Amino acid sequence: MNHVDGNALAGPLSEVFRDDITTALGRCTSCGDVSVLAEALVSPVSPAAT
Amino acid sequence: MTYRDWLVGTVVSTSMLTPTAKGIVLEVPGWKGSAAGQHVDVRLTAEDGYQAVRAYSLASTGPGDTVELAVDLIEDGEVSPYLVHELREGDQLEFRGPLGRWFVWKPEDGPRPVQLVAGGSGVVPLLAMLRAHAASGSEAPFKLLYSVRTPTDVFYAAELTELRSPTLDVTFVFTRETPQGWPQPAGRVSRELLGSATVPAGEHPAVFVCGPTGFVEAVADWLVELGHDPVAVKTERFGVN
Repeated sequence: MNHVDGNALAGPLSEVFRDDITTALGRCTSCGDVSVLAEALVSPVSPAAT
Repeated sequence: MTYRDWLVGTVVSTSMLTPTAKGIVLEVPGWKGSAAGQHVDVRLTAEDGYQAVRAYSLASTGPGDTVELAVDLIEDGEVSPYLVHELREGDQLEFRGPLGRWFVWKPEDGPRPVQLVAGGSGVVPLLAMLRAHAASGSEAPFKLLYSVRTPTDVFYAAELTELRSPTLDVTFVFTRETPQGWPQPAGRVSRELLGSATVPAGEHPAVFVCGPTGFVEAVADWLVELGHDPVAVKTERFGVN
């Protein structure tokens, strides 16, 4: 299956960050919702992000 | 070796789990195992150097040097048609992982009840959790609600039957076609069904929902309406594009 949420960022972001940051909290600048990155919806824009 | 390095596994066996889904077992020297619910990124490289990467949940869990994937075919996909139609025993496959620490259940999580809700191939990471639960002897009460189109679309049907125990209850919801003599007509998961067939919010279960985006969002919203703490409802969504 082809993941489209923040869980799927664990691999691409491992190239940048030492630890898995998909469990990190973030606040949406649009709606103010606070959630972990893993729960965010991701729009695939490149092969590396899907 | 870290999880960010690309690894090469050798296919030791494959099997069709459903008419469109393939189970793939890889042997990976040096693999350090994975937690239940984690995934890997699979990378295919074409002869011209073009690469495509897709995330696939691990059906396997725990220590050992084998990795098990279950890949459902997306007809116009870039990666799954190769994995389902072409990949053979003895072939090599490039991937990295295990990845993700959010959508994970560990036996150390203790006796807290667990509710799993699967839509279609979303059952794969949840099966890993059921395997980890059984292998560890955890006494945490588990329930799986598995929504699937028809009986032939059920992943790991025999294993799910074997895994049933006093601490694991499995409920199937057939959305298009039921087995003969099935007590309920085919139909989708509803809020009412969730209320009657899942661990009540008052028991404060950890909840894992995995499936297509629309399914997961509907189920997660209903669970919150039924009183579950939004923080306790972890989701993993996938699409077809």
